[in-house]
Amino acid sequence: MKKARILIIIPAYNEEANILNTYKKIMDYNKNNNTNYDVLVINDGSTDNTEMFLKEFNIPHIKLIENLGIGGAVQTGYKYAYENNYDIAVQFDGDGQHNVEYVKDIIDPIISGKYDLCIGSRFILPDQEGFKSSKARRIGIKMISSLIKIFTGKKIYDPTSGFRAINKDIIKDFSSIYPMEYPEPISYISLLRKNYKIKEVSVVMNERTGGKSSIHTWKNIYYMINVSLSIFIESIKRYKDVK
Amino acid sequence: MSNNLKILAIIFLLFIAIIITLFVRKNKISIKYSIIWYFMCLILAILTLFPNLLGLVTNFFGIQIASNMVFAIMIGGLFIITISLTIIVSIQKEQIKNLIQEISILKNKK
Repeated sequence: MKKARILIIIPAYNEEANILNTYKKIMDYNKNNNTNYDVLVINDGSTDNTEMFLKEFNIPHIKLIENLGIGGAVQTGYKYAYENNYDIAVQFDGDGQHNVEYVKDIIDPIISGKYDLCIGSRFILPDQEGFKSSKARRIGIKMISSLIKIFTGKKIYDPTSGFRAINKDIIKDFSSIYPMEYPEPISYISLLRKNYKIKEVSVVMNERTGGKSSIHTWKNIYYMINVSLSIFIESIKRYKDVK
Repeated sequence: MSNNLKILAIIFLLFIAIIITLFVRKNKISIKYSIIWYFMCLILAILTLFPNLLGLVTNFFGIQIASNMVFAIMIGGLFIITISLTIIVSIQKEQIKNLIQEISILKNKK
């Protein structure tokens, strides 16, 4: 069988402290494990030296001419993956939270053809190690998880995880429509309603090594309202292309 | 409603209609979005010229003072205009996002 072409998409907004390290780790992994994951960094209009690092170290990247936010940045990666005919696209954080060793675990279920999307999850095992976010945020994640369960009947343990792999069909789907804000939990509703198969595998995440998280504490209430409303709206949308 | 007030109201509405027309002429408002403003001016002009019409509607809904009815109509009209503006902004946001993405992808193609 022809080897699947895999693209790791790394959205980066002011990640000068981490981006080089993240890229190096992936390249080292490629060398040591005989894999050839392609990397594409999306520089989401960073105002620091991220672009300088990307250029200096020849890291494949796209510099957005304006800041789009996480959804718009990641979608740019999906559009690129679609245009360049990649089989699998992996969303990966540039801030050192995600470990490249687990990429294999989340792409395997997709390569096997059994699943369309695979989430790298922090909460699937009750006694899982690694960084699991603050208590307040875990409660929020639980609530979102229950909402998704109510509206789709499927339990997703880590709906806000930004570490996930998708196959060609979803790459196409995401390149045409992708939520601009808080894309992960919202996208599961439409995918499940379109009968895509979603798998969760356990991964270990690290605490951020530098930079600032894109979700601030004071925005949490707005976040919950926005996500809940989006989940509800997404549940009553009409789709033309149901699988 | 006194005749003087009627004249003032009509002049005001004409003024609004002319301003809208000037902006359309300068391509600062597109025809599509000017229509709702003309429509609103027209309704208010009709109500000014035929106050009895307003009385009929006011009585029908059991509203005490005719001017309250005018306010209600205007607020309704403004609601429609603001909602349509929200729709336009949302559509444009999506279009601009797509443009930014496509241009950025093209720019970085070597």
